[in-house]
Amino acid sequence: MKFRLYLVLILFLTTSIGLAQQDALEISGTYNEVIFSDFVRDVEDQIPVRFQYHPKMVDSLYITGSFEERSINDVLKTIFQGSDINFLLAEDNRIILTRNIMIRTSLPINFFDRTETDNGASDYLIFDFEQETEEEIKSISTLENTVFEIGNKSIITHTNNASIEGYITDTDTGEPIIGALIFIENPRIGVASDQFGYYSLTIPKGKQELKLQSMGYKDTKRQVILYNDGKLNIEMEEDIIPLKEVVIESERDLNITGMQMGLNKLDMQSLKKVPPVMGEVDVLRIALTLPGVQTVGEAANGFHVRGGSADQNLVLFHEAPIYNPTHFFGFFSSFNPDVIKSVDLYKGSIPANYGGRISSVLDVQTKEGNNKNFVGSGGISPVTARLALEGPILRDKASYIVGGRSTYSDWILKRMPNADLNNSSAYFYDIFGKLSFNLNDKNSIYVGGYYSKDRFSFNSDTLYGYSNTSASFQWKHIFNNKLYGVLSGIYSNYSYDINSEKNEVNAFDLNYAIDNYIAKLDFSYFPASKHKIDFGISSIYYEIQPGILRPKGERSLIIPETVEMEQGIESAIYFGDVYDINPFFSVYLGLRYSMFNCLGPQTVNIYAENQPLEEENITGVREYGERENIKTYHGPEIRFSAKYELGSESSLKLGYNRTRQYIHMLSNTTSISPTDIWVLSDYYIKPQIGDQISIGYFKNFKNNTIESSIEIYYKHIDNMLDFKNGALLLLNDHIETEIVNGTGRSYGVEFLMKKKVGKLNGWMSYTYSRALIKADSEFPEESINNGEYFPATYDKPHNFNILSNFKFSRRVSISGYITYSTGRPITYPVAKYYYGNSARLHYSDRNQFRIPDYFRFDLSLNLEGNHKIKKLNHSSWTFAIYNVTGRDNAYSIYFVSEDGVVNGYKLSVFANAIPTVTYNFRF
Amino acid sequence: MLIKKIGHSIAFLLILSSCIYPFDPPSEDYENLLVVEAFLSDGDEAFEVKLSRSIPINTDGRIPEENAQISISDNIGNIFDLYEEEPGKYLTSSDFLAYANRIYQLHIQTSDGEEYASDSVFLRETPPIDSVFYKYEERTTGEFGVIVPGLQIYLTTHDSNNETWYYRWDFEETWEFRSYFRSDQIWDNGIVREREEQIHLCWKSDESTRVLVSTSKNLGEDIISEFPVRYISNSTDRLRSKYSILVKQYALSEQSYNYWKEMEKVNENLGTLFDPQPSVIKGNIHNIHDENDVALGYFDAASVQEQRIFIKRGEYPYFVIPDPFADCEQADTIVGYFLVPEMILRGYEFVGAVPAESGGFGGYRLASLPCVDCTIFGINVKPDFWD
Repeated sequence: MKFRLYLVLILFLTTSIGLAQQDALEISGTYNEVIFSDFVRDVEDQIPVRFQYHPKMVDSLYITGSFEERSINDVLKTIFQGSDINFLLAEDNRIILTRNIMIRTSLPINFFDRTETDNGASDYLIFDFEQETEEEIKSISTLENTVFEIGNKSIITHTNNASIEGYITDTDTGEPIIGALIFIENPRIGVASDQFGYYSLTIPKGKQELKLQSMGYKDTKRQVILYNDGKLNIEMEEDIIPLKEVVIESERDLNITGMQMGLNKLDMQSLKKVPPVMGEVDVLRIALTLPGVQTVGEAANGFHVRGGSADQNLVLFHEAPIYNPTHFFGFFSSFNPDVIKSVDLYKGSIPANYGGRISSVLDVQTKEGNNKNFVGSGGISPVTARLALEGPILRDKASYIVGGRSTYSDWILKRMPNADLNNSSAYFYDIFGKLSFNLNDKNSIYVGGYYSKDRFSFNSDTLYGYSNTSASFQWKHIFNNKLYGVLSGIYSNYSYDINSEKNEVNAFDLNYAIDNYIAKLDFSYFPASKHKIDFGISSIYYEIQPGILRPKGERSLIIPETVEMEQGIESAIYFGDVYDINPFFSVYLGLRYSMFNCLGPQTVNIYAENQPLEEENITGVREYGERENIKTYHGPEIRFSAKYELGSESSLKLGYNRTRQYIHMLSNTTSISPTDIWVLSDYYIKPQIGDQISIGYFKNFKNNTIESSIEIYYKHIDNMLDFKNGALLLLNDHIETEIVNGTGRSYGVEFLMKKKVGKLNGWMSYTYSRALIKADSEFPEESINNGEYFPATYDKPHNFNILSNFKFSRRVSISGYITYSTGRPITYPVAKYYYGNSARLHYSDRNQFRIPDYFRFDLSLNLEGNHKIKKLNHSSWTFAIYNVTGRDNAYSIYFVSEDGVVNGYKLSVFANAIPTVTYNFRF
Repeated sequence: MLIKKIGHSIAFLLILSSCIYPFDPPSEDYENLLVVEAFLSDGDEAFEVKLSRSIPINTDGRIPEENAQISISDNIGNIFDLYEEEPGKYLTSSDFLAYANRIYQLHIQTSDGEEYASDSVFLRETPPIDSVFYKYEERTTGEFGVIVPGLQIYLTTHDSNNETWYYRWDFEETWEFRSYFRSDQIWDNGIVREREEQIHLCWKSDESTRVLVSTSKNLGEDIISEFPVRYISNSTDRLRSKYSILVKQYALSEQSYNYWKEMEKVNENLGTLFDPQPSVIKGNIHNIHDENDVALGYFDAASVQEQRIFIKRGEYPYFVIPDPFADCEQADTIVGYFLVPEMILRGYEFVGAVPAESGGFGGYRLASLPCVDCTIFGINVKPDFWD
């Protein structure tokens, strides 16, 4: 109530003069979709006014709202808010309605002056409702009840549909809201806002109620009358009490109505509820709680989606591909949680606009700076500290966000009693910055940059370092209501170096680097209510420096060695259309055509015909010149999905997609090591091709508060790369001799059940899945396990997760996470023998034994500061215990020959319960 | 070479909560394979081949492969047969001579009729070792990070012809030690006599068990500089008095270097977060009738170069080396004449007469056997090379 008075006050102030005499003209009444003429009658009954208007002007205007003793000015203003109807309240208590034919966003500058001169008096007040900026009208309920007229009524078209476009933004920060669902109920038509908060919705003309839903925001709605194509920007209010937050939340109903299958959306609010490890909220770690996502172990770098290998995930951070998304060998992800807006993980049904990796897309979207106020956030945990600052450069027009994170582990290490540790060093940091410019209604520009760095050494012998660098530029242009395009230029680099100075004769420095230069043009087109079309082109120029070895220091005898650079261009063109055949049945058809050119200069080894690719079979070389095409690979990638709704609470979805991958990581270690190399497809290395078919049944219970789903998938991968036994991958200029072509096969069923509201919320999932690889060749050197299918290192058939959050009060909540999975396969010795004064082991077939099963229970307690909105500093404490039961889960089982005998060991990375405290703040 | 033990350290590093537990392995899919240990050096020493069978991983003990027919041939048509000296150990007879720069091949026929042949192997000449030397270095051991002092023994070598490039070493170490009690007398059924052989000063020897290989292939010159051969900390008694190490150097082919490197990787360097997948180590001895039957082991040939150094206490900075027999102080007893047989029955060893505090005969000292008799641990005959 208070708020409303305040609002009224503002209106008075802004509309200034001459209102005193009308103060008595107050009306009361509650109207629910009352036609305008009835409203007029009611008002004329209450107060001595007379309306003058052309009936046609208001024929489709309905009034909804509740007013209590409010001045007629005020009421009319509310009613006509956002419409193109103006009114004049004349001295003789006549109310004259006029209409601007043009859709106007603001009054001409001299509007008032002109009116006054024209009339020669100030007796008439002219209200223009678009004069007030939106933040002055904060009453959401008023906005929800206002009927907005959209489109130029005077243009007569013969179509039944028209489109509305606009941006959905956060009321407080002005930040765009990604993935907000905007829809009408009948017929059921809806879209989600894109990465810029932009939406375009084509719906039948006439009166419509637009409903909006988004994670972490209060549901809202808008009443519109749609005459023609037009514009409506909508602000959504953040849910001030986010403690009820669910961990993984797709938009309500979207579970049923959305096209996507195998998509998980995560927002930062939810992520913060998952018990952290080492006090850090970690995107990648959360991804591992999702069904279908596996890791080989606790501290393992990389993840595996639906039986794919770790290099088959496209990790995008602010649009740029990131090759090593972790710090500290996988203990932390290299993304500062304070600058992350949301995370989408596509496990199946990958839309046609993504390409280049087979198994999944992990799209980490960054926040846009607050364009209204300066704010900051950060946190301090036992190992790291982080800070992010954001604010407007030019209010509502331009904003910035910068975030940084670093560890003081080096400082901690130096204080360790263990000399192994205090001779060691390990540090990392990452910084991210982004500028957003809304140049005008049609053009926006985004510029971002990112750098992450890791450096570590053990016992001061060899020093390792790696870094990710990226920069991106995006220009978004809206052509019209139905078409917009984004032009992007992206640079991404991953590099590492290893150096050692201990023995000056052997002191060396080794460098490896991948450079990506990406140009992309993406369009979204909304031709009619039943279609949403995306299309575009992209091109990536790759440059890989596979290794440069240099002597370090003057006395070093190391021979400088450089493995030839690899170059290639990956180009793609794509088209995708979501077609709503009827309100229940929709299909998505996407086609991507990709092509890869492996380019010179390069020396290609020629091997004897009908012989395995072995070093001794090299018969010669062929030199390719600068930019000369060495080999071209190309092919279509079909992306298809279909959804059929079986009533309002369940649906059936089907998907098929093919993906092609032209860059491959080679690793002969179990988990990704920071020194693994990536290679491009070349004369010998063929692109990997993945086909996945999946089917899912989605059902909601209890008024959509409980969601459940079953998804079944089968995936086949051609030309999956595996390494030969004893492969040497670093500094190898005939890498094709170290690898074999395999065939991957994986399948599984994923059950998921979520409860999204209530004091107790959370979800549980069970996955049964297998991931198998076969490498068969006529040559025994190129076969693994005699050409039979064998389990991949990440094949963990049973996987069970429960994550739940219990809210004691608005400020206190507790979260628990339980996970169980089958132990991963390892290569196990089959015999022992004595050789060279020592017992040795003989290993045979790969991955025929499993380490013990994995189980872990984590707990965390979140204490929020008080929720006064005006409080300057919002803080929260998180007390977490990782691995509460202290179970010593096996990371690996291994054997070593020591003093002549073989000993078997089990290595546990976290064998104890690990408590941490994190302090987070916002200001 | 590049990735060493990242794993252990990193694991500790975080919260000191990582742990390594012993694991008792079950035996899975046991494979019974022939194991061939054969190294040929030049000169007139007999060529020795040891044959055994692989065993299930949860068992111990060498199973010799008996009654095999073994011969070695060279590239100028000589064939020499080996005879079985003891079960599983085969030797050439005394007329055998091997020469550098010849090519040799090993042929084995087992008693069950399987025939194996090695690849042809060139008998390489090994360049001499430049020097074996040591430096005082501190290390940390174990999970608790105790810093221990010790000596690191290094080796430097080179081939001025730039022909060798790949090297392997092994060593034999010998050290002198003393029993806690010096006993010069013996109890001979009630009669105390002087001992005929001393059991107080002994020598113990040990052979290297780890794979020691290195290459200069990525250097501009064929130089191996400061290769760490052996680290001896004060957790053993090797350095308590006098220590000697004999390092032997062998030239390798690239193929045999790779074999040993794989052996090291698969058998000695596991346990990190970034373990390579262990796999079959390809040797060079194959069943000539069955491609899939590969014998374990690598037949190699090279001349041998060796160098011995001695390290005496006092030559290097002093550090404490605990006496492994320190507990013997509590493990002795002094009894009268009539109790001596009783104590010997209980397993005590006679040390000798001890004087009483006031002077004169105080009784006989007996102590547990390891505190008296050093031959339990070593030999009491001074090795020939000991100076």
